[in-house]
Amino acid sequence: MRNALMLLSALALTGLAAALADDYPDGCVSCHVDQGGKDMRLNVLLAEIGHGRGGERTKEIPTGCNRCHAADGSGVGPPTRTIVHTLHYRDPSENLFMTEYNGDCQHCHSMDGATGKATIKVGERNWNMTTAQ
Amino acid sequence: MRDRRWFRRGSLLLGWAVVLAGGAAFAADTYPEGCVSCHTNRQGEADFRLSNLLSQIGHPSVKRVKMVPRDCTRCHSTDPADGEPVFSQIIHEIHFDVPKINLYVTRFGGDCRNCHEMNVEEGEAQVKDGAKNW
Repeated sequence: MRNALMLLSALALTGLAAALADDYPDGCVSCHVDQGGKDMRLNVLLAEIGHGRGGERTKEIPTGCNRCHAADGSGVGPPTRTIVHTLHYRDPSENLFMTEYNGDCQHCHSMDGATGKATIKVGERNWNMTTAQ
Repeated sequence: MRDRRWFRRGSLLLGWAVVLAGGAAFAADTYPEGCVSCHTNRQGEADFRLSNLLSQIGHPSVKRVKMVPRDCTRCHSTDPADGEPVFSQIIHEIHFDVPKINLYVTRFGGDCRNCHEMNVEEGEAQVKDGAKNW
């Protein structure tokens, strides 16, 4: 009986730990990967829509994007968050981020519960430069 | 033969109805007014209204508050330059600190969109507001 209880407790704790684990610790680049059948890396997606080469040179994602997409709107392009939010939440019934990933803010943002500060996850680009920098 | 055809059509229609109802339920917002949609006095449960919870911790009266959380910022700063925890930090801390035992995380999945909504046209996340329920 005691063994069964211990096993159940272990299973419950494992389940809780799994539920609290972060599947996307580096934000954008944790999710936007080459999935084999479909290359979802950002450099590929951006090339498909004719984005400038500046995106490919960006080292830290998404903070590096702010060079052109400044948060206060002073850049040459709209703020990163405006673009990223719209891309991930528009047409929710057909939007992959909503239908496959439940539109979970915490895939891209992390919350420091001790300070109450929400931040943006950052990760290094997951592609190689095709030309010299 | 005709009966079988009608049965097939009926089943098809019923199937689509179920799919559409499921889609609508998926898209529906369970907490359209944020704080006050969740912090309620449900029959058979503890009184989770903010007026009750705040009085338990010795918070001054919130009788004059009309819209929640909008009117909370009459006293609680939203400007980090003021040198005190801003209102958003207080709310985030209460709802996310010690996630393993935090009711908001364990029971409500810590879903940001229970309190926030996304304005897709503007690409900006906003705070939901609702009239006080006390």
